[in-house]
Amino acid sequence: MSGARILIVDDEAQLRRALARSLTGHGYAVREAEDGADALREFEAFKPDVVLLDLVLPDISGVDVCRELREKSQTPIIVLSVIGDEKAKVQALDQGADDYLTKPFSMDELLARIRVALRRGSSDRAQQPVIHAGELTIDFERRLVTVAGEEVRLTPTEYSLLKYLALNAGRVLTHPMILRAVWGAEYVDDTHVLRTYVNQLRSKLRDDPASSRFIRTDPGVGYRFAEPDPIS
Amino acid sequence: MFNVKGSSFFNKPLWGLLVTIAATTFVTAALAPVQSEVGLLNEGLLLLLLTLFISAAWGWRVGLFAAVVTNLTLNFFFVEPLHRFRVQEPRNILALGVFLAVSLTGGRLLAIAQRAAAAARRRQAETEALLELSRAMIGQRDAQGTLQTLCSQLVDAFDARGASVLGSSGEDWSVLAWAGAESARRVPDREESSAAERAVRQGTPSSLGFTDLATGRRPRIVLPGSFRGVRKPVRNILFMPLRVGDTPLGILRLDGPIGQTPFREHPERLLGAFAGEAALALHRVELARLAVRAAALQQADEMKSALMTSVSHDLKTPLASIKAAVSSLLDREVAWSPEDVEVFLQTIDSQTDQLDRLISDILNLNRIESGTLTPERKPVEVRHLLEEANERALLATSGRHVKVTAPQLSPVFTDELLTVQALVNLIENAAKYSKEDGDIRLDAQVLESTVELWVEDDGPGIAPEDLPHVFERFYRAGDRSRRVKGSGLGLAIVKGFVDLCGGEVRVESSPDRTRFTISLPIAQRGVLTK
Repeated sequence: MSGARILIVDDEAQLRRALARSLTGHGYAVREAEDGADALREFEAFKPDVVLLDLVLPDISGVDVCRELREKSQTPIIVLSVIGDEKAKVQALDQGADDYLTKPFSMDELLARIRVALRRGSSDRAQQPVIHAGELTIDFERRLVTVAGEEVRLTPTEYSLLKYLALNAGRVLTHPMILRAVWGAEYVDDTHVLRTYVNQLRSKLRDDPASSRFIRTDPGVGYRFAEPDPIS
Repeated sequence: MFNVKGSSFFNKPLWGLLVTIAATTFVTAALAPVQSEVGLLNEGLLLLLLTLFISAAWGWRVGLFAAVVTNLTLNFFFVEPLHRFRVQEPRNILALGVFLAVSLTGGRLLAIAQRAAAAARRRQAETEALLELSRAMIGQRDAQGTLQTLCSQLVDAFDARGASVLGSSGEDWSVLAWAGAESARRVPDREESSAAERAVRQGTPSSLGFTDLATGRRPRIVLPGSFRGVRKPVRNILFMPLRVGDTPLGILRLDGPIGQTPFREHPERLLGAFAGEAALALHRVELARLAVRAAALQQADEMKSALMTSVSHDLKTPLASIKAAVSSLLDREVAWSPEDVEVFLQTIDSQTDQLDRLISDILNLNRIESGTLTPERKPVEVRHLLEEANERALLATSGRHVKVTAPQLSPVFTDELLTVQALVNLIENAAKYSKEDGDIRLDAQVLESTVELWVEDDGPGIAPEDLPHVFERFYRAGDRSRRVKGSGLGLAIVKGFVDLCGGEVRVESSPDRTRFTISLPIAQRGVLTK
């Protein structure tokens, strides 16, 4: 999706400059912000399609910026973090950030994440009747899940979990986010329940946790459903 | 066990025998003229009283002797027919028999009661000695004090010549603490070492001289190289192992002879209790030391991980820019313009420099902290230091007006390289925190036996709450704002280097002026090397 607008929020001028050059070269329209106040201002003026947000900013924290942006819009936010920022990273994801990248990252990774974010921003998956991801097919209208053509019998909770993960395919979902969406707000701390269900789901889908095809673990953060096949 | 110094003279049984005879003679002589008025019953009771008194004073053996003597006396001098051992009336035979039985039984009972009283006194004394020891030990926080206290308490309790605590380091024993005679601080000879090792090995006391505590026999000591026919001087030393569980902590050495104390008879009981107390105290001290060490290690560990977080953040940030630039250049999908390529290359260039500076800073700090940096101090011209530093900081100070106004002063005694680097860091720091076209002044003056060199800028100054922390690692004034880039190590390195050079660094700041001052000692004439 060339021509999309990207706002880079980072206090490191050198990084902003390199990212801006590179993204411009890839056909994106880019603007930069060096702190939180600047970011909120630019967001209003520029109306970006994706925000790249550093968590360590000179004035307010990236997590706060994330929260403020979420109050205004659903624009995808990709958090740029450094090892050691894990806590802030998870907080930002809980505040509504869509994805994260750990510095240093290659432009390929960044471009791939931007593409996923843009796709999600533009299409509403809930309206798709069927999702295909490799051998896995989920037919939402018939509540039918098949792996390699064979039907997989799921309990209602397992189905809800799979549906939520699949509808957010490619996006990292934190434990509290999944628990809130599938079980309800009062269950946000029951990570062990989630872990049990994910294991059940994986075994029913014949998914190997070590080299997962469908449900990937983001250590210390949450789960991420495999990128679905392009909509045909 | 121990030979005893000054054992009570009158306690000897011989005295008991003499007193028995003398007292019996006296009583007999006193009663003989008034025999008929006093009556046999009273005479018998008086002699019985005498027997009991002697039993109480000298024990039941002397008491037995007294009973026989008084019985014979009673028979001979007071029972009809007088002055013969023959007894006329059968009832008097019975009376003499009863007299003998009562005096023997009474004497025996008295002796038992006395022994019990003596044992109770000894236990009380033991308890008091232990209580005294505990009281003295409680105040001790370090091993040395504890051992010292133990030794002097031992000397007091046993009235011994000396006491010492020995610790072993490998093969050799060393004296950790001692009290009493000067000889108590002697290093154990071979004979003593082997007795000490035996005590440690067996976990029981062992002694040199008189009798062995453990076996009750006198140990036979044959030393290699000792000459037949030469009598070794009799030694009188006891070794008591100090241990907690199976862990040997040292050994207690008590030098005899010991004095007349309640513990003379069974010193091992009190010694054992002392050793137990001492071992526990030592163990406590050891545990406390370990706890302090563990706390220090934990603190160091926490500091290290905080450092690691900070360092990794600072190292990753330039890496992120470099990676973004390099992976862009490698991207064949885009035909980069020459200007794009220029931007990427510049990013890589400047960020590699940034990484290099950061890594040098970390290495320097590490060298300072690990103590591997040895300054080479010699007399150096002050002006030369300032000019050299100014020259090396030129890149960082571009746009600022730097003025070196130091007059000709006595040379300072310092390491030239480290001092120049410290000054460079101060100048770069001034440039970082001051206005684009601000002034930076380098100057110096003599103050008593030192020269003060300072770097002053007209930047916004340092907040009072930041001032005490500016020399800490990774501290950036007003840290919430990371607008000013740097490792946060520059000033910590300044302090480290200046300390190494034997100088001091301090900072003063007002809202429009900040001055960092390094004071270094003036080189003494004739001092050319360290």
